[in-house]
Amino acid sequence: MKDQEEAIFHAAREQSSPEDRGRYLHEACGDDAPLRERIGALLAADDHPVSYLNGPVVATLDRPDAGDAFAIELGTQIGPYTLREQIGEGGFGVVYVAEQTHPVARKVALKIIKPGMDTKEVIARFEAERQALAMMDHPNIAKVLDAGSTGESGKGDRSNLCAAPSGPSRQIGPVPLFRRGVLISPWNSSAAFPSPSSATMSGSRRVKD
Amino acid sequence: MSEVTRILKSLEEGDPQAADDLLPLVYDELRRLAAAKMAREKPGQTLQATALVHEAYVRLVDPQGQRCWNDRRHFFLVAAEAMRRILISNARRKNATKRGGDHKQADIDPDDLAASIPSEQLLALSDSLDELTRRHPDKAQLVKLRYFGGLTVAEAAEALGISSTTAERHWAYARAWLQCQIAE
Repeated sequence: MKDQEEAIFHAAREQSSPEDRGRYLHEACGDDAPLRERIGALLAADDHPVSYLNGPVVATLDRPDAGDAFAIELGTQIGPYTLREQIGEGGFGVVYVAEQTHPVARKVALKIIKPGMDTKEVIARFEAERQALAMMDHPNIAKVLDAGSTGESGKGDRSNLCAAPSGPSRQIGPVPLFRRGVLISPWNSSAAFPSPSSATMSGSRRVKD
Repeated sequence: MSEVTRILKSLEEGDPQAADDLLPLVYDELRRLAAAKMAREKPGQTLQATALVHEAYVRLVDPQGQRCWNDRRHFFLVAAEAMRRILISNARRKNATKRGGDHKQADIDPDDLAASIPSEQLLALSDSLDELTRRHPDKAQLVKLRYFGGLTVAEAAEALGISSTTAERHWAYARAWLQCQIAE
């Protein structure tokens, strides 16, 4: 049965014109409409092969820093923080609202450098940003509570993070000083910060885990 | 004599078990090569997945270009299958991630080599290829050599010990058959 189908397929392919092909199929398939239909579909596919079936598979190096691929599932625990909501994303990092339960229960903003972006240069910017924020002490400026590395990949791919208080009491709209803080730091992507309404920073400490 | 060369020798002597021993070695080497490429190349860079197969061959079997064709033949049959499994397992994982699976695992794995066709399409192709294997095992092998081993139809014909005319016919039929099967 399948041999017959195959034989007719090949013979039909070798016909020199569409008319000859039609005549041949009519003859070869007779009253067997399903057979005629199957072979018709095969011939149509043969006439118009889709490109990806035409040769070797091409692959891409689909690295996580290739753009929007980076996302950590909400609910993931990073140190004492549980990710609750993504509130911002920039070229180098993603900002989440996270919940801390220990030693104090509070909401924080947590910025994580994207995996693959943790080059020396980016980490230096991150550090400079932290320093800049540390020099400012104002209730309306984000306060750096903690900094470190997620170390979660276990493959030497460490993502840095920092945390800052966040929550309804601090939701105060764009703050000029905060904006300046961004500008004076070598980190030039303001999008990488929490949205101004949820982020305020002042004073910091860095921990390496 | 390297492990791989030893296994190829047993294959040559007709030990079918040897292919099962070879697969994990080739699989690991392909993943390792892919990871090494990740470290060097830009994200989103495209390459022939099958170029990795050739590179693995040179590294594992043929450091001086001395090996005979029979070794190549057995190696590529196994390596094409290994490459298929890598791409399929990455596509499956990617699909699972889309449905809310484990993002951490998927996103930080450094050897995330993905076929440049959408993962759903690749999975459909692989399922259809399994179906083709059940119905026309010889044609399925030809297709695997071509898609995942990067051999030309003529090279695949030689690897399978069939004439190139037969291989061309098998190729045309199998390609059309797969396309119909995927469209269903």
